[in-house]
Amino acid sequence: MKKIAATLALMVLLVSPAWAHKVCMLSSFEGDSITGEAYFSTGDPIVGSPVTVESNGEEIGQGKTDENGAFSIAIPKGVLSAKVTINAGMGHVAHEDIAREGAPEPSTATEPQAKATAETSVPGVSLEDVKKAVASEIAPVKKMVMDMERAQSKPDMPKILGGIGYIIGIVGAFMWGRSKRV
Amino acid sequence: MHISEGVLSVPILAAGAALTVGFTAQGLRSMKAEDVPATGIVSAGLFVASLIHVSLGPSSVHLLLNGISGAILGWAIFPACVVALFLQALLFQFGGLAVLGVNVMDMAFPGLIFGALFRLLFVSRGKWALLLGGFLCSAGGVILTALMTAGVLALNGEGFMAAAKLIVWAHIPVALIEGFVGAMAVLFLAKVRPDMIGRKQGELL
Repeated sequence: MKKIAATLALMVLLVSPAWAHKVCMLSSFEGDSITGEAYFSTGDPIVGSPVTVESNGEEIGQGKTDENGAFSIAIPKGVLSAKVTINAGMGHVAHEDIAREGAPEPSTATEPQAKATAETSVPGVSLEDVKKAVASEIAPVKKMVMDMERAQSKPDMPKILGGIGYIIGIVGAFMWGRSKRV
Repeated sequence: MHISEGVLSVPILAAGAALTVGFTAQGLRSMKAEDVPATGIVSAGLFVASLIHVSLGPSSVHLLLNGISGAILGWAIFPACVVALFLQALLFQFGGLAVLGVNVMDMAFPGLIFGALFRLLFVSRGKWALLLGGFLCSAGGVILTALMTAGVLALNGEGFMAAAKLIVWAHIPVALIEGFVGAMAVLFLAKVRPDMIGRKQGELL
């Protein structure tokens, strides 16, 4: 019994610093491109892996992740939804379906609206300036969301212990079944 | 070693699932009531082993422990692996339910082969044979798993040599680490529970 306890304790100790892998990805539309980040569930960035973008079953763009796992892929105008795929090799693949939510596409549909705002806006402040300011304002929020996603993608202790609990339960059920038969 | 969901084509998934069902049925048939607790413990070991992670450049690999599991369980490694990988897919989203069959075959089959080799060739030949056998069979299990995974990806369309090279290279350090872990585990079992590797107390050391 002591040995089993010691073995289990050792397992738990061995496990804590290092978690295994699943491919995670976050991506979103940004103007006329799709940007995002790809990482293993350990939090390590996926470096130099191909990323492809499909829309309605057709490939519309491709690129590679950089040394931080980030990617930015130019896409044609008028694309409202896309399927982003990262292939980290060795059968490790992740997909994400993204869509331009709510906001219509900036370059075409918002033209009249942009004109309207341009007329009423303060002279000397262009739409580009506003976009830049908003982007830099929401950057920390974006980073926070990414960090939260990362934290969630790691297997945590309750799940590990839960899994071991399931196995003990299965063994128990199995032995119970066998013992009734005898 | 988990192939993600949505990578493989349907015939490969079906073949993997069918093989796994067959081998698992054989595993369940071969299990006696007294084998059940050991199977459970090994299953728990396989379940946690995938969390022991070796970071290597761009790739990410983890321990498998399939060689040593096969040495302990024989055919029962199949049910143990099914349970462990099913829970990993469910709780950690490693692999997936549709690819469960293929992933179980990739992992349990090398365990079965190298476990049988270990029992056939290395047991009852003294301490050094045990250590060597534990090392070779654990490392061999990892390498064969890597090759089988490469083979499955090749059937699916990725070039075999490229995929195989990448996967085997990435797993050489894992194979070495597992070799040491396996040798230590075998030595420990030979001293404490020789019945778990097929011999009675006092026969081995």
